[in-house]
Amino acid sequence: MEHARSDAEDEQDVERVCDVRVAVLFVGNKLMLDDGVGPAAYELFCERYSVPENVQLYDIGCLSMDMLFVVDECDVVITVDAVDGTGNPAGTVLRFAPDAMARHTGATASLHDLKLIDLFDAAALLGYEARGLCLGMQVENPSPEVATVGLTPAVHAALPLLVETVAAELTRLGCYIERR
Amino acid sequence: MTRSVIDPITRIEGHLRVEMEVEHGEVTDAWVSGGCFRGMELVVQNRTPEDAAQIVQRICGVCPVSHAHASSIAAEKAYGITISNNARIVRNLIEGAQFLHSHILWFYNLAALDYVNPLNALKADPEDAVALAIEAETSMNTDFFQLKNRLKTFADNGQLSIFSGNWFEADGGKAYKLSPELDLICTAHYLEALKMQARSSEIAALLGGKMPHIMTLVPGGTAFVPTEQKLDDLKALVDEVYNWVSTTMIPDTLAIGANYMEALEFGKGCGRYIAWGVFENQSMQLADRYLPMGVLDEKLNLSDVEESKIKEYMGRSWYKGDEEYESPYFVTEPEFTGYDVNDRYTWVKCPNYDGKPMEAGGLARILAAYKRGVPFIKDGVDDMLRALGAPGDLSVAQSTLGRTALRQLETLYIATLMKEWVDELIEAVKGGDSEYFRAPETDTGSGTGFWEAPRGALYHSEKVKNGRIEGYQIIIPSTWNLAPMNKDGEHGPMEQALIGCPVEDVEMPINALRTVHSFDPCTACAVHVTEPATGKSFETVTNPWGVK
Repeated sequence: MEHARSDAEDEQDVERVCDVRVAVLFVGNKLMLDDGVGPAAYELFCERYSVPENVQLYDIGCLSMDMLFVVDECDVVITVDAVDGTGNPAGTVLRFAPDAMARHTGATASLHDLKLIDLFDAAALLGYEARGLCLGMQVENPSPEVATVGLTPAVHAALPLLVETVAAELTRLGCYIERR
Repeated sequence: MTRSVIDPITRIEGHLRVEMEVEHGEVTDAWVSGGCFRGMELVVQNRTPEDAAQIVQRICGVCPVSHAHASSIAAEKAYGITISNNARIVRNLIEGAQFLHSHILWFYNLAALDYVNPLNALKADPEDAVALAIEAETSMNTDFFQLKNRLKTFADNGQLSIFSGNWFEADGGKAYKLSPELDLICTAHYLEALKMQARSSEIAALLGGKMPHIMTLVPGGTAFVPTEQKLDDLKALVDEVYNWVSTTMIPDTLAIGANYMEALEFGKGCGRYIAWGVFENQSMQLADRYLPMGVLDEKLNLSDVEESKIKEYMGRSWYKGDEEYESPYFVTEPEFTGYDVNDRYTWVKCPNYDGKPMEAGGLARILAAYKRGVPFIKDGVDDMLRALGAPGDLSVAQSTLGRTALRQLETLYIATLMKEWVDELIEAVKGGDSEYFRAPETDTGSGTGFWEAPRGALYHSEKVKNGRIEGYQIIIPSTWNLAPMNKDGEHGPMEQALIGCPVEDVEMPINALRTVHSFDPCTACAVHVTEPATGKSFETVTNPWGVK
């Protein structure tokens, strides 16, 4: 898990502080082609924007339940993940509520099968009150035969749109993000 | 005669298939198959030992620290390095944090759902649950009234998928025996356990730079150097986890166990044990570790490990050759030939000690520590045997429930040690000891790291020439436990433990599942993609900054 520290400490402009605590969780496995769209968005976002202290950015790889402590500490949790099965063309950026994600129909075969929805459900069962917002991109190939780093062309081309969507959502929440 | 197959085994770390023959309601034969080839030995060829200690952590996201540790010890043996006292304490703390994470995760979130039915908690009277928790002397950090309400809301909205796919209705609804109130208490602790395992991982991340896959455990010592702030954070985190473990895990175990005493009657397995030992003492001797090394035969007679007695047989696994190879043995040649229980049926090799299959894991460590007279373990085991109605009778421990229950004692022991090690480190730092790393003086040699992962005895061996690895061998604990038949046709430990398990329903052989989970099997990683639920819609974003 990579964690970008806020730049706010270094900044003189301390007046522009908003007190809603937001975490953005970028999800995915870089080695699995389009599944790595979350981490790729993390990198591009960090390149383009600096965030204030109340915003925490995490590249969480494939962790889910391990991020409960973040949900506990936050008012809003935004997730950025690869999405499949929506019927949209690859590269389509989507916004949805946590509850719109599919739940397990059977047992989880192993810890590796835990999904993002489990994080939100477990957090709710624990009584955590963070609001969830999910952003994602319809992918073309998230399960290559051989481990592959990179993105398919349509997904790569839409990456800036996904990053701008994250930036716009943070701005809508009142977070003073700044373009580098 | 009926065949019962559980494939995949659920709620484990990896991919596992169990095939059983069932006659007159009892398992009469069993074959355990690991469905995943790793071949990490091949990846580290021609790398430096320092790289290897990083790379081998990728074997597992639950127990990476143990692999880094075993690999580093192998390199230190090869290079003739004895680590400094501060490095020893720091490494014990990182390893201990990982054990706490793993043990808490295993008991509450993987194994407990074989005994606890959260859906039954919907019928609980929260007031009675409070009374029961007081009587059982277990912790009450969760408001049972509120939890019951949340569970009800979840159940009404179909949101309880984290509990779906379990065999709550097995054996005609008689398989789950807890009262609704105890189910509510244990469900509360299931949820608290999610938080406590994260806390434990925070300790590992504080000392290791990140978790999983830490950065500071290196051949020669540790790259972690404590600051006042970090020691302060460490103490607070360790105290928090200790307080929860010590007030929750043993009482829960005894309360659950009292409802499943029949599980003391099956699941023994091969009855022989290996523990290589874990958590270094100042002497740095295997037999003197906090959880010491020990090999136990069928009469539980204790002896010291002899490396040349460890051999691996490939004749029933998907590797070239059908001979036995004495460790260290550096050849890994996979050759898949199809699943056939009469021939080769697994990716797991068949290790043996002195020609025999051996069980590894928490039970093996506890029995070795008991035999070596480790006071905390001796008293704890005696207390628990008394509580299980069999004072002084170690054979009770050799069962599905015994194996499941005794591990919590180990968790408590490690949590207690963590507090001691924090104080020891603070004292050492205060005393001016600032040595954390010792550089090697050679770049050629051979060495073996005997260590333990949470799931049992872990062996890494390497041969290094001019700073590069020429040969590497790993025997992970689940290789011992999930071993196929040996050359004499004797079943592996888990296969033996399954034989004799009562099975009422071949579609849902719950006692077999309880037995499998009692070993905490781990075989190995994945991709997470989000899919929309049927009937739900995802909104398309085309103009993120525009007004919608």
